[in-house]
Amino acid sequence: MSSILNEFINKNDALKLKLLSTLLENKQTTFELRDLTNQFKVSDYLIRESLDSLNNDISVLFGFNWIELKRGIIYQTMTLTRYHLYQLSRYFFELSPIKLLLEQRLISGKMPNYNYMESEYGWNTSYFFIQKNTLSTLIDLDSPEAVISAAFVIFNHYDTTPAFDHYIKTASQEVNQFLISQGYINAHGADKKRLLISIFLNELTHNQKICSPIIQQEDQHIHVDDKIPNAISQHLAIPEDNFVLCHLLSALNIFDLLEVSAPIAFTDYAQPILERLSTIIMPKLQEHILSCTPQDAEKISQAAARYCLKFTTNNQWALISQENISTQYFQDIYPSIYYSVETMFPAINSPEEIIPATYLNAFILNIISIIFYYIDITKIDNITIIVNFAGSPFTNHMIEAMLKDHISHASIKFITEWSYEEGDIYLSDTPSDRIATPQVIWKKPPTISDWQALAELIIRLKKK
Amino acid sequence: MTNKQNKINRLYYLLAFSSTLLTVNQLIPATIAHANVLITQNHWTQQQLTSHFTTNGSAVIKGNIFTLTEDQSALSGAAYQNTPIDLSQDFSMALQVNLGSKNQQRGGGDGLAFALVPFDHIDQVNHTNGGAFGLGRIANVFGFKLDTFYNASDDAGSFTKDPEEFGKTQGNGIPFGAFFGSDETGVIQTFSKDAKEIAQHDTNDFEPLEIKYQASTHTILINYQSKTWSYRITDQKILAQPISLVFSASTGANHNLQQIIIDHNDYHPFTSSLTVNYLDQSGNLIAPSQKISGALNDTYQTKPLSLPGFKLVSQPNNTSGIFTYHDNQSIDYYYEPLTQYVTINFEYQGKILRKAIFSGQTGEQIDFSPIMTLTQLKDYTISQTDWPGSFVLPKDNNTAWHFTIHLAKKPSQTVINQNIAPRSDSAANPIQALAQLDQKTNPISPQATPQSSSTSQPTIENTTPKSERTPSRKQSPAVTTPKKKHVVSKNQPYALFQDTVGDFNEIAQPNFQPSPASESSSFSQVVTLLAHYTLLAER
Repeated sequence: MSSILNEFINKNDALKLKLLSTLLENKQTTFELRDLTNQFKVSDYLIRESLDSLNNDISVLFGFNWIELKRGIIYQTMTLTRYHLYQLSRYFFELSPIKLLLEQRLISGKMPNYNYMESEYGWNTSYFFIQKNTLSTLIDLDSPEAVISAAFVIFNHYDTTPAFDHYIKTASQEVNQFLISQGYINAHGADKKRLLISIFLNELTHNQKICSPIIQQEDQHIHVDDKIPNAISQHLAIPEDNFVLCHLLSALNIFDLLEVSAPIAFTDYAQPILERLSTIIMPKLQEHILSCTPQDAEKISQAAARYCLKFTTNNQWALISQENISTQYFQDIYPSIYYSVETMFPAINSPEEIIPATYLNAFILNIISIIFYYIDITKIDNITIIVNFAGSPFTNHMIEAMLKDHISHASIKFITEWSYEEGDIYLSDTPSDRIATPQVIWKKPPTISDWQALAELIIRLKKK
Repeated sequence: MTNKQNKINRLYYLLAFSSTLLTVNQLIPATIAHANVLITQNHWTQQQLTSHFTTNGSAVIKGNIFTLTEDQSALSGAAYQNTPIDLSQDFSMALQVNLGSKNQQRGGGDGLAFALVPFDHIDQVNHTNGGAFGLGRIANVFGFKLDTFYNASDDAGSFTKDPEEFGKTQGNGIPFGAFFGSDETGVIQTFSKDAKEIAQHDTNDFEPLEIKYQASTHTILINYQSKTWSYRITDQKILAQPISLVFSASTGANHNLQQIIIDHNDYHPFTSSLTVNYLDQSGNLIAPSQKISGALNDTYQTKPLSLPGFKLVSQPNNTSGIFTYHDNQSIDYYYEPLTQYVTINFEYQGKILRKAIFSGQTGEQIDFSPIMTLTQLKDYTISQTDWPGSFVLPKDNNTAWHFTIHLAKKPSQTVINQNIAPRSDSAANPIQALAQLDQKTNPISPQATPQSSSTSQPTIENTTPKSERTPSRKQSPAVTTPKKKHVVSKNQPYALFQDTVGDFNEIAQPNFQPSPASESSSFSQVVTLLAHYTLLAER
C-alpha cells in the first residue's frame, strides 16, 4: 500500500492493517508477539492493544474471533484472506476523520468550516484545523484536477464511494452509458469508471467557479469533437461543449480506463510526443526474438506511446497506481520479452526524461501487457516438457492435465507420446539413461517441493 | 628585591614566604558554597595550616609559624592559600612578621611580601623566576612587600629597581614598605607612591602587620609599625578573577630568618557556579534549571531529575567534576517525552465493539469525536461516557489511559434486549443479574479521571471472550430477531447472553466460509506457491 494512502486512515488502524497483512502473508498459524514488536518497532503494549482492537473489529465485521494470545504466542483460529483485509481497510477508512473532511469537500465543492464540523460531528476547533492541515498537505485542495485524481485514487483504493447526491449518481450512470455507447470505454470494471465519472461531474457541478477557467481550455492531451449529451449537461448546469468531454476522457485515460479503440484524437501538444515515442519503440519490436510484423509493431508502438504520454502530466496522483509493481514473474517466465522491453526505457528517456526511473517496473509491465494483447507470445521463451509416466494407463494423461492447468501460462509445451524427440525437461516416474536433458522424477503424486523444483528448473532453463 | 646571586644562580631559586589563612575546603559542603559566606579563622593548628596552605621552596610550617627562609643564603620560599578568595568582597588579615635580626649593611636581606596572584598563575610562583620574591615574570600580580635589601638595578623581564629614595647602591639602602605589581608582561614594578621607610629590625621578634581590603573601593590598607599604606587596585584582571593569597620571601648573599604568624584571617572564598538544565531534544527547558556553586577545586556531583512523563535519553559527560574558574558552564540533561497511549473503548454490555487507540507524547493533545464511529455502529447510541472529547497527555509516568464510551441499543431495539438479557441472567445468577440491571437503568456517572493501565490493563488474554466461532453471515438489523451469543469471560465469570454485532448494511459479505488454518490442504499450498510467482503488486 502506498504510504500516502495510509495517511487517510487513523495511525493505529494503519498499524492494524500492517499487522494483519503480515500475518496473512506468513504461512505460520502461530506467531510470536515479540517478533511483531521487533518488526514494527513499537511497544509490546501497543501491539497487544492493537491485536485486541483488531480482533474486536473482525468480530464486529465478520462475527468471529480471529486470534487468541497466550503466553506471547498469537494463535490464528481462523484463516483470514485479503478479502477481509480490504473490508477492514474500507471500515477503517470510513472511520477516518480525513476521509470525512475530504468527502465534505467533494460533496459541497469547498472545505466545510469548523462551526459546521463542530455542530455536525462534534469536532472541536483545534481538531478541525489539525485534520484540515493534514488533508491540505496531502492534496492540493485548490486544484480541481488534483482533487478529482486524488479522490478517485483514494476512494478506489478503499473500495468505497463518496456519498454524492442522488442526481450526481444518476448523471454519472448516464454518462457512463453514453461513453460505452460511443465506444470510449467498455463495460468492464464499471464501478471504477462510474466512481471517476461521478467525482468529475460532482466537482464540475459544485465547484464551478474554479473549474470553469480550466474546462474552458483545451485538455492537454485529448481532443474530441463529441460532447456530453445536452440533457445531462443542462441538468447539472455544466458547460455544453466538447471540452468537458475532452477533460473527462483525459481523466479516464491517465487511469488507463479508456477503451483501446476509443475514437479520440490527440492535441497538438500530445501528438508530436506520441509520434516521437512510436518511432523509438517500433524498431525495437522488430528486432530480436519478438520479430513483430510491421502491422503489429505499429499498433504496439502506438499503444505504448499512449501509455508513456501519461507521464507528461503534472498530476502525481495519476501515477500512484504505477508504484510498487513487481515484474519478477515476467523476468522469470518471459526473459526475452522482459529484457527487450527494458532496453526501450533509456531510448524513451532520451534526450529528455519522460518516465522517471522509479516507474521502470510499471513501464515494463504495461508494455508487456500491450505486447500480450497484440501478438501470440506462447512461442517465446517456451520450454518443452517430456511427460513419460507409466504408473497406470491413466497416469500420463492425469499428469499432463495437471501440468496444463497449473503451468501452461508459462509458455510450456508438452510431449506425451515420447519416442526420441528432443525436449527441455524429462518428467517421469523412472529415470532414463537414454536422454541427456535434465530429469525430474515424481515417484508419487507431487509434493509442494516437487512442484517448486520443477518451477525453478523451468525458470533456470528459460533464463539460459 | 632579590640580590644578584639569586639572579645568577637560578637553580637555587627558592623561596620564602609565607602566609596563612584558613582553609575552607573542609568547612564547605561539597557542592554548595556561597560567595557571601564569610570565612573566619583565628587560631590555627599546624594540621590546619598544613592542609590549607601549600608551601614550596624553603618554606616550612612548624607549629603556627611559617618559616619562609632560614637565616641562610640563596633561599626562596612561598606559601599560598589553597582556596582562592573573592575580591568582590572584603577581606582582612592580622599577621605577625619577623624580618630577621640583621640589616642589609650587616648582611641581612631580602625581605618578605604578601601578594595577590591570579589563581590561574599560582603554579608559576617560585617557578618562573626567583626574582621579586619568586613573583617575577608572573602577569597581573599585586602585593605589598617589606623590603630589607635594596636593588639598585633592573632585572630584565623580572623586576625593576627599587625606588631611589631608599638606596643608592645594591645592598646599601634602608628598609621600606611598598606596594608592587605587574602587568601582562609579568615585570614586577615597585610603586614609589606611598612607599615608606620602615624601622630597622635587629632582633628576631615578631611585629604585627594588618591587611584590610575594602571591596567597595578596591582599596587595600596595610598597617605596620604604626604606619599605614594604602592602594586602590584598578587592574580588572585582578579584581575579576579568583585570587590566591601568597606569602613569599627570599635571601641572596644576604640573609635573615624570615617568618610569619597568621593571627586572624577573614575572607570570602571565590565561588564558581554551574547551571543544571533539563531539556527536551529541541533544547527547551522542561523543568526549572538549578544553579549550583562551590569554591574552586571543590567537587560537585549532579544527578538527573526524575521528571514524570519524560525519560532521560542522554547524560552529559560533566555530571560530576570540580568547580573551575572557567565554569559558567551548563550541565545539560536531555529528556524525551514518553510515548503514551489513549484507548477509547466503545462498549456494549461488556463487549468491546471498537477500540480507538491513539498514541502521542507527553503534553500532546488527543482529540477524538465518537460521532464518526457511531455512524458505523449504526444501531447504537451513547448511554454514558467518561471521554472528555480531548485529553492532554499528562506529565505522568503512567503511559496508558483508558476511557469507556458505554453504548446502548437505539430505542427500537432496547426493548428486546431488556426483555431477554436480564431474564436469562436471573436464571443463572439472580444477584448479579440484578446488579447488571441496576447498571443499565442507573448508569454510573462518568469518571472524572481515566483508568490507567496500572489498575486495568486490558490484554487479549483476559478480555477476549471465548465465543462460538460460527461463521457469521451478514445479519439483518437486530430489531427483528437479534442473534444471541453465549459468552464467558474471566472478567465476567457468569453466563450471559449477548447480542452478536455485525450489522453493516454497506459492507456486503459474500457467503464466506473460513476454514481452520490447520486444515490447509496441500492443494492450497500449491496454489499459494503459484501465486507467489504471479504476484504483481502489493495490493
